[in-house]
Amino acid sequence: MAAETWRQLLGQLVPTPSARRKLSQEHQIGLRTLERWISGETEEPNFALLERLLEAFPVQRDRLVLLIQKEFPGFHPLIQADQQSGRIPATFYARILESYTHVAEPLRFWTITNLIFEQMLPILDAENRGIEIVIVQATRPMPGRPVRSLYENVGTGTTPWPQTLASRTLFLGAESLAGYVVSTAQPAVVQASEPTSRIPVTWTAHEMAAAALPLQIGGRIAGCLLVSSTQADFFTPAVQQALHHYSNLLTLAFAPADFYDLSAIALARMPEPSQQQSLLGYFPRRVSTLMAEQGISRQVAEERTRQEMEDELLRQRADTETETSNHDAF
Amino acid sequence: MMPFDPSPTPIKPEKDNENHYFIDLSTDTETSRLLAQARLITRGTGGILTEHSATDLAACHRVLDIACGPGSWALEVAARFPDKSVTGIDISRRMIEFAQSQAASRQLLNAEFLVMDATKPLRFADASFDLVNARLLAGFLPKSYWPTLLAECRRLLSPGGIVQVTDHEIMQTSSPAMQHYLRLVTRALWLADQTFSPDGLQLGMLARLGPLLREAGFLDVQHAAYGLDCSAGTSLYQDMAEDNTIAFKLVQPFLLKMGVSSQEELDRLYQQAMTQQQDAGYCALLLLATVWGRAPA
Repeated sequence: MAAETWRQLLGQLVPTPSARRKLSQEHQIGLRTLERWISGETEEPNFALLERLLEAFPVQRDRLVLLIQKEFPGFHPLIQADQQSGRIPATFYARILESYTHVAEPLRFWTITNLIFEQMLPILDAENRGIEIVIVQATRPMPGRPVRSLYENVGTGTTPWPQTLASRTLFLGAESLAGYVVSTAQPAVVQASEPTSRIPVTWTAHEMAAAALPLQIGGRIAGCLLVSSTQADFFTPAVQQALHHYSNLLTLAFAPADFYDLSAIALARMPEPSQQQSLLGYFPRRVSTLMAEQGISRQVAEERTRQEMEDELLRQRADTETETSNHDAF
Repeated sequence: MMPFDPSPTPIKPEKDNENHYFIDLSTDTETSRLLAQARLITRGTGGILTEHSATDLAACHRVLDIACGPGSWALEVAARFPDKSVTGIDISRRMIEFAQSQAASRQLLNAEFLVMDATKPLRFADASFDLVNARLLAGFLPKSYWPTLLAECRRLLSPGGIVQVTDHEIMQTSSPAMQHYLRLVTRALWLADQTFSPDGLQLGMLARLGPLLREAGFLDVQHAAYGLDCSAGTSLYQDMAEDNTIAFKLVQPFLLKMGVSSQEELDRLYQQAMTQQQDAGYCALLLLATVWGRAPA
């Protein structure tokens, strides 16, 4: 049941004695004070202590402030929401740095991205409204060529999106939001309700807003972090700040060779997802064949298969365009 | 010169002699794998605590998760049921620190995590919990410890409280190399006395869980069985393939230590297994069972 007062909401947030004890200890709010707040004693609470309460619940912060102000119109928190919910705990940074320095290279990408997803997902979507987080990576080019496409490498999500990307490893190019962000090395946020001609976006079902942030070190780019939401107003300044921190952390998952100078990136336009599907269906089989025939690792086989498929998709697109222009000529 | 001052809360290294877990815990790769594995199992079995009626669950206020690892199951319970107080224990400080930080980040004030060795008496008073959960214990628990652990669960449960144990049988696949590799793992666990198999060909866990609970004095013992189809083209395939890719690497030191294979053989089998699981016709089925019973009133 939705809480009508901040006291009811607080009671729902800490329903058990052990939870109240923990909140009391971790945020230096007296247990007796907490009990009084929840039970509804009418005295005006200490506003400094209420600020501590807001610190404890960054996700419910706005609602708490609104409800507290209904009872105490004079309450105006000094610390702004952006300063709180964009924070990532120092212990988490330490943990990722430790994986960066201690985990062997072939396992590092998987380890770091999984840990970061585990941290991001429940915090960014605490109310299970639906988000998808995808790491889009530059397709390694053949020697002497520029980066011509990106691919969806790993991802996770909450309903209505699947929990994992599974076999959806689409190629993206200049026609996509990810492509725009990688090509400009600038983050972008777009809303389905506010179409813009400047940024190319293809909206998928359920997607009401999307953000993409480049994954870069010193101007060299590996790809981007792509986040979609079912909520049009999802990407508040606080969420954008958090994504900025996560995108910085995610760069540690990549090997130095995965980063490219901006001048070495010349993305082409890739075919529509529906036109890619028939080819991508063969991806696992072609990887398996390469591994068996050449005795190479899965990672290398996947990289070569992607390069071949990128070539095939670009040829397919060129053929379609030639056909269309021939039709037009008639 | 000032002495080296590490960060205020360093992640403490795991000591090998502290536990029997068969995979190295000195980095977060296993943490990461267990997180992904927990998601896979929860998805494959249709969710958490689905075996119990709403009435039964309403009576469970205090929940204990034994060998909770990085806390996935306990955190999920804490998030889904804010009225329940959830405690997770694990011998690994690294896992517990991760679970604690997750609980803090997610503001789950009803979840706590403690370092505790499940093979020793647990530091809780009698009848401290209404539900005790344990998932996939074969990775660290010697066969002979099961009766002791279940007796401890009974001590910790309130009258009528529920114990539930989930375990698995070794996966069946169409890949000859993967089957060979899985047999090596099974044999190594058997040699380490961590399976109930009479001959080391299977884990033998599923058949024993029910009788173990009954022997420990639990009543109304029931079970739910799950078959997770992880074949190519299924929704679980990619996650299971990823788990195999990581786990087969991480388990190698254990296989070598138990003397069931050589590094050369493992390298060759690994490459073949990874190739074969990419085949379009690859088939894989993972069998799991949850067995539960009640403490006598």
